[in-house]
Amino acid sequence: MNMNKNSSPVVVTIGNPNTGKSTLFNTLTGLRQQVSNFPGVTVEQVSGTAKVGHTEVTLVDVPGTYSLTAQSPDEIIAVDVLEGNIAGLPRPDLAIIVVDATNLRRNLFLATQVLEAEMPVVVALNMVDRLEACGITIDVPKLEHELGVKVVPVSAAKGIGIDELRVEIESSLISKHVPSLKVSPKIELAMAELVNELSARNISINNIELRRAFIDKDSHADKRLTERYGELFTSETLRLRNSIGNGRSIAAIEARDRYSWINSILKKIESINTIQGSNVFRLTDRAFNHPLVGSLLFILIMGAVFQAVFAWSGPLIDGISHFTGWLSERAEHIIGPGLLGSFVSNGVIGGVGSVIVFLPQILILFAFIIVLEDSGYISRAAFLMDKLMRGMGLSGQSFIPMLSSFACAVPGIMGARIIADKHDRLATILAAPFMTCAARLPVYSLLIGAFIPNHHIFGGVIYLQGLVLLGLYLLGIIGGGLTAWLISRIFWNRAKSGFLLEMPPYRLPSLRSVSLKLWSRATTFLKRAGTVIFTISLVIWLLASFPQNTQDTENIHDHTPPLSDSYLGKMSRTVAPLFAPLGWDWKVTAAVIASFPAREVVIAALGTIYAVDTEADEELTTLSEKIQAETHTDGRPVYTMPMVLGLLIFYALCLQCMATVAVIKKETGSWGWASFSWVYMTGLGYFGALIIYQIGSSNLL
Amino acid sequence: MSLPLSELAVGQSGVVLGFEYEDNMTDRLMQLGIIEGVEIKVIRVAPSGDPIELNIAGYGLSMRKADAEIVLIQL
Repeated sequence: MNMNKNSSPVVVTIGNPNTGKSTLFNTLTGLRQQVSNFPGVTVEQVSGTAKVGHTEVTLVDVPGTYSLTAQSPDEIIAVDVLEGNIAGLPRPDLAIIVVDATNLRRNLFLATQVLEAEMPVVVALNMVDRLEACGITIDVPKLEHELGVKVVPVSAAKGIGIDELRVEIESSLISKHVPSLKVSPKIELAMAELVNELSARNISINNIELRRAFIDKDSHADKRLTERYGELFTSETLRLRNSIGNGRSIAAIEARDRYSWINSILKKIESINTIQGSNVFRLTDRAFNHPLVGSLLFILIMGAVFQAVFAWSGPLIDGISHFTGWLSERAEHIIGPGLLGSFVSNGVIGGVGSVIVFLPQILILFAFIIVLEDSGYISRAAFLMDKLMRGMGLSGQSFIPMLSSFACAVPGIMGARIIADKHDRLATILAAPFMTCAARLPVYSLLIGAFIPNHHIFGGVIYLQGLVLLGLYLLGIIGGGLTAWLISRIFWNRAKSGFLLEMPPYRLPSLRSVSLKLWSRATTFLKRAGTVIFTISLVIWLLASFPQNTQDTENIHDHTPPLSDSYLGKMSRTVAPLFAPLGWDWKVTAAVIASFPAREVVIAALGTIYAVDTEADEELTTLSEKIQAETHTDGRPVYTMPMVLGLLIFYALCLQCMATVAVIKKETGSWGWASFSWVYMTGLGYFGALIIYQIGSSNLL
Repeated sequence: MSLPLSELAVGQSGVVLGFEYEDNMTDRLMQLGIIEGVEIKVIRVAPSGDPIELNIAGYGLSMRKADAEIVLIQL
């Protein structure tokens, strides 16, 4: 019986990385996708609905993997979905195996493993449009005959063969034909005996789960079954592994048997006429891989990415903040000044506005990362960066998550799933939040713009303001690097290696595929970050607006208390002495505390605090002017240079982001690492600001 | 003549003979197609000397020299 809530058939897309699997998934589902969290799973699953003939199916995309021997968290997810081990998601009714036609040999390894999973299968032979350029011819009917399932030639990027694929999906769902291919006689014998022995003891295990547990010793599946059945299971598997293994691992037997079967069928179905690939791509390849030219191009490309992210997003960000500001004013004007007006204009519109203001930067950075991924360049970047990243205790694979973290640490930390080594992955996760994310920028621009003189230095070539901004970026990179290095020292392991990274051929990214991926990542980000930031903005509004002052007869419409009497003001006054050594008064403290859940909130919080403040000079209009004029009760300015520098360092190092804390908890599976990260980064921020302020305010300088 | 994969020069190619020893890492390498009888070519070395990029029967893979030492190649 189908347990799925809308009871439509469940279809999973599975395949190697770099086979165009996500593109095919996006083509089949269009924009009908959602990200779901299944209970008990540490990562979410992308799924969508697709129409095949008259049937609506739930399509589930799993991360790319080279083998069902699951090692990285990404691969474990893929296998768990296939085995039906995810609560809330039934075992799939059909698997679409996505195979790169230009690299059949390695792709068929995973394909034959999935063909043994005892479920209906359709093979999507992707990238057939590139076969001719590669000089490869494939006999599709013969391949179908050997595999025992339907093989549909498609090009997901160009939209070729998609209708035929839909037809085959529908008919396989109806026929429920299960392939009978088994490539290793030795393993089949052992499997038959294992199933017999276990069923004699009344243990019945889903075949694919048992098979993977038997083949992959100490794997996720092996550990789970050992935990569930204990001695009964381990003694039998151990005996059979020894009897067929002769000292070799079963995984090694599997690999050898599979590749010898694959080699034998490739002789019958594939012919390669070694004409060389396109000249343009070969020339690109040579330039990118020249030691000097390649390194310069790398710096140039990264420079262009950052330039685009910051320069191009400026006008869009201004546009959005002006629009939400205008909308908020209009709302207050239409509804009137009371509690409801304040709720709609400051709480709702302000809250939503604080989320969407990041979209331009995040979209531009995501678009670049997707183009770099689809073109195959990102693997070259990881290849170039491996040695440098290794110096920090990371690997080349950490490069992509780190790069994403310059937009937002949340997708960066999730991107660390591709890293198989668990300590490398942990080091990457803990280092990622140090990278200067889009949310830190508004804080930097406000403080730098208001307090750092815009002097030209070095003969007018470099602006002091720009130099301070660069310094803050470097501070984040150094902080992250040192953190990763420390983590790798703690878990230092001599035998650690395992950097294996596919170098896909250069490909021209298609606009369709890039925009679909961008849409899918942007909506995922918005849903995740949006809900957190929005909720927090509402909470801050509540804390700043209550308790309501009903005795105030002079202003019948506005019962909003003076900020110092609100809950937020009271809380800040209580803890203000703790931050006094940093040169902060209670208003700065209030803004910083309000921004602990999401650091960008500080701008809105400062805005609220200084606007609500009745003592403030009416003629000062912009926030920048207001904070420049702000003084302590004894008349000394609050925002002195040492205090501003300290505040900047505090924002550079502190983990003021609830979404990041939540995602660290989710990805490491423990509150321990999430709390460690928070305490560690907040401590660094506090002491960094303390040291700068104290040194700067003394007469040492 | 057989020698470790890590000692092949850029542009040199050979056929996999076997492994120095077998463990989880070699299981992984075999799943990726680095297995007896397969032809491997060294495409390039990173500017910093490590990792190296290989062509394994038609596809590109990069790995560190420390891992390439285990793979034995017949020139």
